Amino acid sequence: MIETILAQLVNGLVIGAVYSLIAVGLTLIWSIADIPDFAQGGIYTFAAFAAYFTVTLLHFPYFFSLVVAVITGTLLSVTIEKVCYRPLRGSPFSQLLVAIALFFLLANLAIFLWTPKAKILPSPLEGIILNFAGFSVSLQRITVIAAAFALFIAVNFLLKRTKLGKAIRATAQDPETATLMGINRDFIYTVIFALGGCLTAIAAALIAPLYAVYPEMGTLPLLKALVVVVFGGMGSFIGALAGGFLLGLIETFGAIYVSVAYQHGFAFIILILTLIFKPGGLFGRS
Amino acid sequence: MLNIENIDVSYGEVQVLWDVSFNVNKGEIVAFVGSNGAGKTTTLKTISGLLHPIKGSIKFLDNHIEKMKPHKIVELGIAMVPEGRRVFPYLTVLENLELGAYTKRASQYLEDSLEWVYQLFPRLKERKNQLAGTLSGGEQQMLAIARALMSKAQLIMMDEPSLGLQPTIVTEIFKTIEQLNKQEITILLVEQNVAKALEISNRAYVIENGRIVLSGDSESLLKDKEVKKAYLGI
Repeated sequence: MIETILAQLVNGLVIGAVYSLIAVGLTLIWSIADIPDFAQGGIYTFAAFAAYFTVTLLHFPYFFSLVVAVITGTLLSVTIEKVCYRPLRGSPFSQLLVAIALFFLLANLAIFLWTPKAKILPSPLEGIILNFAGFSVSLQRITVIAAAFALFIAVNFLLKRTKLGKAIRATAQDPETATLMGINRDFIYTVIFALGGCLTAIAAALIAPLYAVYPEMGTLPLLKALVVVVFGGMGSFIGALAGGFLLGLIETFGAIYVSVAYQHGFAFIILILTLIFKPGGLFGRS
Repeated sequence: MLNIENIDVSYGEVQVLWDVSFNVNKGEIVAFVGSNGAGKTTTLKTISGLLHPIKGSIKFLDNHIEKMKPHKIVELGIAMVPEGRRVFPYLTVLENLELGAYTKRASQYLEDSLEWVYQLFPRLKERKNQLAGTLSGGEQQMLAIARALMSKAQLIMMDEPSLGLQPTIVTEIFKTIEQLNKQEITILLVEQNVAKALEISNRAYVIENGRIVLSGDSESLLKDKEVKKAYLGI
């Protein structure tokens, strides 16, 4: 009994870490650039494939594949902003359509390039099992949770303590006045898209050894991360963080105590309830 | 220092400025007065690069700035105190001030500048760790001015600094503007409080329906019959 609960707690935190990582980037992009960046779903997939090929084709160690995934995700995200979103700045509806188009385009490009077949990304950490008084968990799972927390501390430091972070927050609060301070808006956009792509890529490469690498793998995490942004409160770092973990836990425990059939439905029930009862989200400002 | 020649500015299809020319010399306070909707704010936004003229030129020191982006213009030494203060509400007073010194040119003087603006506005020092959104209107105006000063600008443009403030604070703000001018800061002041603006400025331009209709030294404008009737209500 207690072991089941502990195991589900770990599973919930692992999947929650993935939602939180994607949602933190999404919430920054959404609140500053005004784009619900569906393309992050495709970036998630491409980053996982980059990690997969680094390990299986190039025979580099798994840790190195994380770096390759991050570089892939960051470059892809920044390029998409420059090439696809920037020329459409000022017409948010067109940007939304392009974002949705990219979401499908990247998934289908992955099918075209690598077939829909699921692939296994081997990680040495998955083979190391830790035992705590009869309860066992793989080091990979612990790593996902620990890495997520380390990244959140780093992002929080960036946003709160650095000059760049202050410029990002100022741009989020009042973009026009921010430019009057000498802040280059294009540069801030590049930074937040880089950050978003980086976090999405890390999430994908960390969780890939636990599930599988396949072209549609980004769909559900992306949709759920979008829900987390609304649930946590648009633009709220702490909201994306807490909301992601909360959703991860609700899903895993809901799957056990309610029904597995609803596992992927809880997110959207939460979305509807949030929009009805707390449209600003948990940590929203208005 | 600032030379504006024959600029036309429009918002989409609607033209709001017509053939506007004026200049600001080093060390002056120049007032820009007129009724609501005359084009005062548009003029300032055009100088700061938030809008671009469809015709004409803007020269600051030796640079043509009419096509430059706002963040480049700040770097050259023009700062703006925007209408309605526009402090960053969820940043602290100190963080707002630090952002004022965001440019490369200004950031090397950050500590000195902070000391200077805290001396000018001791209340900001007391509240440095408070969120700017929780300050009173007068304090927010002081913060907006202080933030502009942090940029080490040679020219500061102020858009309606007295708007919506109680009379004692208004007096204080105008005193500060005069005091800053004595420290060799050139000021372009947009005001609906015409009497006050003319009192403290060296020269003034009157703008109506997007055109400059009158200009001269402030003292003589204060005595001008037309100005008295139209703007001073006497």
